[in-house]
This record gives sequence, structure tokens and C-alpha cells, in this order.
Amino acid sequence: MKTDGELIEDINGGDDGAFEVLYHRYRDWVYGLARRFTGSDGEALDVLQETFMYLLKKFPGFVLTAKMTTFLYPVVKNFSITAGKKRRRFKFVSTEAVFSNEEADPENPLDTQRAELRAAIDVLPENQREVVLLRFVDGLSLDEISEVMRVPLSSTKSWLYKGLKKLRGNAGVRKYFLG
Amino acid sequence: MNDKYDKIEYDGEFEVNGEFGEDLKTVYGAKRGVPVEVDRAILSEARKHLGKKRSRLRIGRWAISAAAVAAVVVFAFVHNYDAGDSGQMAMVDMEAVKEDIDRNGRVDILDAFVLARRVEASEGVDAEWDINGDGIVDGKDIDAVAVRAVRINKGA
Amino acid sequence: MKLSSLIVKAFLCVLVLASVIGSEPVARGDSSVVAGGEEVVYFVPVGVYVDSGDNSLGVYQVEIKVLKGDVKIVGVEGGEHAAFKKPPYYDPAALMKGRIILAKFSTQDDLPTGRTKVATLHMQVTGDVLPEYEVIVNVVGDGDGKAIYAVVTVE
Repeated sequence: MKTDGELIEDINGGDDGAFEVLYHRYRDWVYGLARRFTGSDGEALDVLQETFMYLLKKFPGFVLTAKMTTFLYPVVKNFSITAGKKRRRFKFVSTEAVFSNEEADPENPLDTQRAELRAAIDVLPENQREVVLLRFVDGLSLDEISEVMRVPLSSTKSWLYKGLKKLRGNAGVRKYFLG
Repeated sequence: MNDKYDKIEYDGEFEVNGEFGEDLKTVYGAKRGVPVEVDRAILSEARKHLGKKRSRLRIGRWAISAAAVAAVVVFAFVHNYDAGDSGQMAMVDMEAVKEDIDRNGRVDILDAFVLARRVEASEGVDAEWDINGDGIVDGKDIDAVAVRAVRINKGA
Repeated sequence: MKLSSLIVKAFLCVLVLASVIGSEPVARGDSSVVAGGEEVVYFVPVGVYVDSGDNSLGVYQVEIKVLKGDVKIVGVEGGEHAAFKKPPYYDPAALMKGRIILAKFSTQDDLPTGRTKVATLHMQVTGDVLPEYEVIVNVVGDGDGKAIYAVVTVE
């Protein structure tokens, strides 16, 4: 399997097949990230397209000096912001507001549990929420999170610690914690 | 400095069960996949964009310019008046004679430019300009001159 | 005709840059959330522009130095016009340092005029001191290599 660097070299040489490989490698991650930032499937698809068009226009001549996720993260974030959606979709979410989503079933205890989790996550400060989601949804290591968010590792650790501490203190999500 | 944060992965107080990540993915993940039409649109643009660039790619010799004028090129360059070491940046050590194509006592991008023009015109090419010693005066020699011109430590 | 070198004091472009926010959507680390005096590290693209006016731009060589701030050059990209789309020549030894020489030429017929972005430098900035740069122009020439008046800026 070619590395990102090798694919980029091929793309610089005009290989659209290599671009396709790179696209599929990061498509779902970009889409998921855009979905989180925008809160909307439709807007997330727009951001996905804008992000990869932005990347495409870098060729030929693109030189990757960091990981692809590090390069893509601020691009996705900024396109999401300019798509007109606020990152904090809900300052405070009551469980009733989530139940208004047609996909949630108030009779289903699992939906209730997830609604409470969503409510607890959404009220975290922005950086704490972002770190928690990058860690547990995207599976990034703390070093990788530091790199994509472009902050020191100590900041990442601090935000993760504080975020988890707040969640653990929330009765609705306490059940997820082992300690 | 932040010892307690270093232990966060192992601190039982904040250890979460597997359901935590799964439920977060369910809550925050996309409700549907990327439609194939979106894939097609993006990749079609890529083929168009990269295909255009590929058709201009030349391997080996540099592209021949129809309007290329042989031989006589007048050069001028700007010196920085700053008295610092940058005043010497346009100068190179006199050992780099072979890269000094225009024989003005310095190696800069104009030397690469002159060589490129000569190679394109296929005339007036001096064997001395075989910078890399492979028996051919071509794009690789042009690159070698340019690389020399941008070296930050001229003595290296 | 023997080629003769002319030292032209046509101009000096020493530009001190106050702000380094680039036009591309790159996020800057949020210094407001860093507690306890910890330094922020962020990345910013810096465009290198050559304004050759009515003259075609065929060749350039510029040196860019960091005058102020903890700044390292971490990447180099090409410019916008097809003639300068590929990355310029540069010394890899300049990466992770604060000084670089960029140079490129084009023998194509289609050359840019006016203000042209010829390269993008990716900078790693540490701390909150606003970076300042110096630009030293070694060479700017037209399609025949003839010296032309041009203004080179970084922003």
C-alpha cells in the first residue's frame, strides 16, 4: 500500500488514479468531521466537495509537510464555518429537543441514553468537546490530536482530562465510566 | 509539569467502557454514507484537472519554445544595499565556475535560465555545461545549476 | 556580444510584514485556551508575490529571512500561474530554519504579468510574537531574462 507521500508524488505527476486512492482513504473521515462541524448531512457533503477541490487545486506542486489529517482538519473546519453553520449547534440541549429528531425514539432506552450523552457532550466547552470527539469518534491519539488542532500536547491532555471529568460528573453519562 | 494529565489514559477514574465510543460514533457519526454521485463528481474533476497537467508534462528534454532566441541575453540583477551578510548572497565562491554559465562571477537562477534556453535551442551548448558529468547536457544539468543558485550555504 | 553584468539599484524590496494571516483557510491554534503561559505553535501559509507590472515575469530569485519571531519554514509550494505552478528551487537545508532562497524560471510563452503569486511558504510559528520578514531580491527578469522593475512582497 502506498503511503500518502507516495500518492502525492504520483498525483503531482498527473496520476488521477492516485488521487482516487487518496480520496477514498480520507473521504469518510472528512465527511464525518464536516458532519460534526455543520450538524447537517447536506452541508457536510458540500464541505467534503469543497475540501477535496481545495486539495486538488494544490496539484501539481503540492508538498506534504505533515500528516494528511493535519493538513485537512483546518480546511474542513474553515469550510464548515463558512458554510454558515456554527460549530456549537446547541448551547444547551434538552432531551426533549433531541427527541424532536425523527430518528430518536423516546420509548427506546438506548435512544434516551444516547440523547443524554449528546446533551452532555454538546455543553462541553468547544475545545474539550473537540478533543473528546477526535479521541473517541475518530480514534486519534493525543499526539495526533495535538497536531491537527495545532496546539501543544499538554493542552490536548488538559482538555481531555477536563472534558472527561465533566462528563463523569454528569449523572446521565456516569454509566459509561468504569471508575 | 502536568503529571496528572500524563496518567489520564491509565487513571481508573476516567476509564470509559466500550459503549462510550460506540454511542458517540452513533450520535455524532454521519447518518448516511457519501452518495456515489458525489464520489463521481469529485473524481471526474480530478481526472479533468490532472489530465490537463499530465498532457504538459515533458520527460527528459525541456519544452522547446517556438520563440526562443539563441545566444544573446542581457542580464541584470539587483543587489541588496543592506550591509549584512545578505549583501553577499548574490555572490558565490569562485570555485563554482562550471555552474557560472554566463561568466559573471556568480551563480544564480539566470545561469540556469541561460542554460535552459541554450538546451532548448539545441545550439551553442558547451560540453563544459555537463554539470553532472553524465555525458549529456540536459534538464538535469539545468537543475544542478539552479540547485547551486539557491544553496543557503554557498561554501557547501 | 559579450554578456555583461549590470548592477542595477533599481529597487530594494525590504518588506517588514506585520500580519501573517494567509488567504487560504488554515486555522490558527487558539492561544486563548492555553493556560499557564504555555506557548502556542501554529502554522501559517505565507504567499510570495512578484508584481512585474506590464512586463512578463520570466525569472526570479528572492531570499526571504525571518527578522522577528520564532518562525521556521516547514514547507514550500508553487504559485498560481501555470508558469510558476511547480514549486520553486530551494535548498532543503533551509527547512526548519528562518532563511530561504527561492528561484524559478519559465521558458514558456505564456508568462504572467502584474501581480503574481510565485510561491507559498508554510511557516511554523511558536509563541505570540508577530513574525516579521525581510525580502531580498536577487533576480527578476522577463521572458528573455532581461532585468525588469518588480515589487516582491510576502503576505
